[in-house]
Amino acid sequence: MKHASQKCLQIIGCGSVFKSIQVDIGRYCLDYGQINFVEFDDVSSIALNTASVLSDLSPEAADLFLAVDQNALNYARLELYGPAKLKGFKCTSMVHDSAALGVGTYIGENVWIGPNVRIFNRCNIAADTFIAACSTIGDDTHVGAHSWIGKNCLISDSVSIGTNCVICDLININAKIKIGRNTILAQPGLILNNVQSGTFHEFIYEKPGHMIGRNYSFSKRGVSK
Amino acid sequence: MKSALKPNHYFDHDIFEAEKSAIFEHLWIFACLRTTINEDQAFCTRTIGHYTVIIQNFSGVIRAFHNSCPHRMMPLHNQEFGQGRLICPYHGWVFDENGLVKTIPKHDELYQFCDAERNELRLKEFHVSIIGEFVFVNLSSHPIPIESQFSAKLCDELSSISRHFGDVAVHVNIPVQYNWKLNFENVLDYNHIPYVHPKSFLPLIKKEDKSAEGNTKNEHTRFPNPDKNLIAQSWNSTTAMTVAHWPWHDFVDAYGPRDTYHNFFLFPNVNFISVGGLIFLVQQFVPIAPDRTEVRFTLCAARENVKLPALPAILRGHLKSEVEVLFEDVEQIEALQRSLSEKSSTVNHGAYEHRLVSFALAYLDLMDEK
Ligand code: FES
Ligand SMILES: [Fe+2]
Repeated sequence: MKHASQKCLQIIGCGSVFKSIQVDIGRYCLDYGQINFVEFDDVSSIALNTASVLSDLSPEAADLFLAVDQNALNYARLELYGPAKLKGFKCTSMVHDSAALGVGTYIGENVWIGPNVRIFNRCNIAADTFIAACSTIGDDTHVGAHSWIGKNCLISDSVSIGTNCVICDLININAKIKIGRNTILAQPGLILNNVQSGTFHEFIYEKPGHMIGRNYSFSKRGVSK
Repeated sequence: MKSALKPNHYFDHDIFEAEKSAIFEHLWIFACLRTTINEDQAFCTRTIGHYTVIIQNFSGVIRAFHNSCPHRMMPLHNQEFGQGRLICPYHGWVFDENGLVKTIPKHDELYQFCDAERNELRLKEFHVSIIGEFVFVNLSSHPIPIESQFSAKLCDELSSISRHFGDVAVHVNIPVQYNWKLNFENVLDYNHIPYVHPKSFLPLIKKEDKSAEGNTKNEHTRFPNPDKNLIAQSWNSTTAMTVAHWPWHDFVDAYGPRDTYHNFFLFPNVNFISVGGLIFLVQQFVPIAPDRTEVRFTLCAARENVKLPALPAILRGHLKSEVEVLFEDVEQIEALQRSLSEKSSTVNHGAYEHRLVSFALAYLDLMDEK
């Protein structure tokens, strides 16, 4: 097993996070012998090219960081992350040196913590989740895997955010709020009530769209109110 | 040809009120897809005509009730789609699957109904009819046979296509500022597509087939005569369409050939379409006021053969592009509605608009009956 500093880091992806890391790579305190960037033209080329990009690499020689924005509820990034994990790659996390993490806060792999982010104590940021610049997360908050928190958000204490969520810029979430999985909150403002899984609160809709049907509006066991 | 409808059919308050009983409480009205309430106690709530309605699944049997508690008229369910027994949130009365009150907490202490009174305490029930996955309700106590509204051929095709529906959908209600009939007329009018959707929808329709009625038309086409029979107002067609291939298409049980656009018109207020038998969209134009409508979109994909983790993203992406196409129509139709007044002249229909002429005649027939 190679020591991390002998391994190389491949940063693969496209979009705003990829570019911001590329111009600011010196601020991420990484212990790798070499760092390479592999940029896709756009998100639609990811599915077509993932296999060939990964086949040139081995988990023994390279760790990965998969940098794709929140496109398609973060499933665009998952198109890279999923196959990479199946092939046994280790994914590193990238924490900007201006960010601050509290005591007992756990960060999963392939997590990106952008500049000036502050995460308080005992939080859990699950794998493949990105938190953009200047956002703050209070104590005891859980952010599920494959999620996205935009810039200048204020997520309070004991909040729970599900997997594959997109919390856009300038959103404040009140303490103890639960945000279900596969949810998009795109309208800046304060979230005071729990949000059901599969809620699409986007600018195009005056009233939010909702996933309905099995495991959304009903389930085998019954939906607890 | 002059339309049989006058401008005030699109803004008059009394006409709008009359439509509630003559059309919406008389005909079979689409309520929801069965896939969206496909488990015990799953329900959806709707407003149809003068009524708020619960459509609920009781161990696989779908029933419809007035969403109004016989105690003090509180709605039993407030969510649009959900799951839960018939329990009134106000004072906790519980109703059974026949709509009859089952439990009244503290009955003997507080209410003291005699047996005869108690037997009257039931939710008003409405008729339900299901074609494939399409659930219709009829609010009349003596409904017309559904076969007199939808032909056997149409029902067969609705059943076959809806056998392919997946078990999750995405749903959105879009408030718009125009009369509901303008939107149904708009979807019947395929000739607006090159003008209103030159970039979004037109490029997808195959060159040789620019008409929504399926057959290539030329200058000498003879169009059928208008047909004012109720049953003639609901029909379907297919059009050749370019459907871009996405990897997920290989993992679902699609309906029919890929390069086909299916278009169903369900009188009075539903347009159901399918892109390549892969994506299915029900659009319903729900009257809110003479000049206000709620366009309800329910969109699903063909049933998965293997689980597609990205399905929510797929549905959300397709919904967004369908809504963008709708907004191109909305911009025009809202302008049309704003311009209407007592002084507006009557519409002049060309031969290709025989479906709109028929629609007007069938509509007026129903309005006269009441
Ligand atoms: S209004 Fe329903 S129980 Fe009182
Ligand atoms: Fe249109």
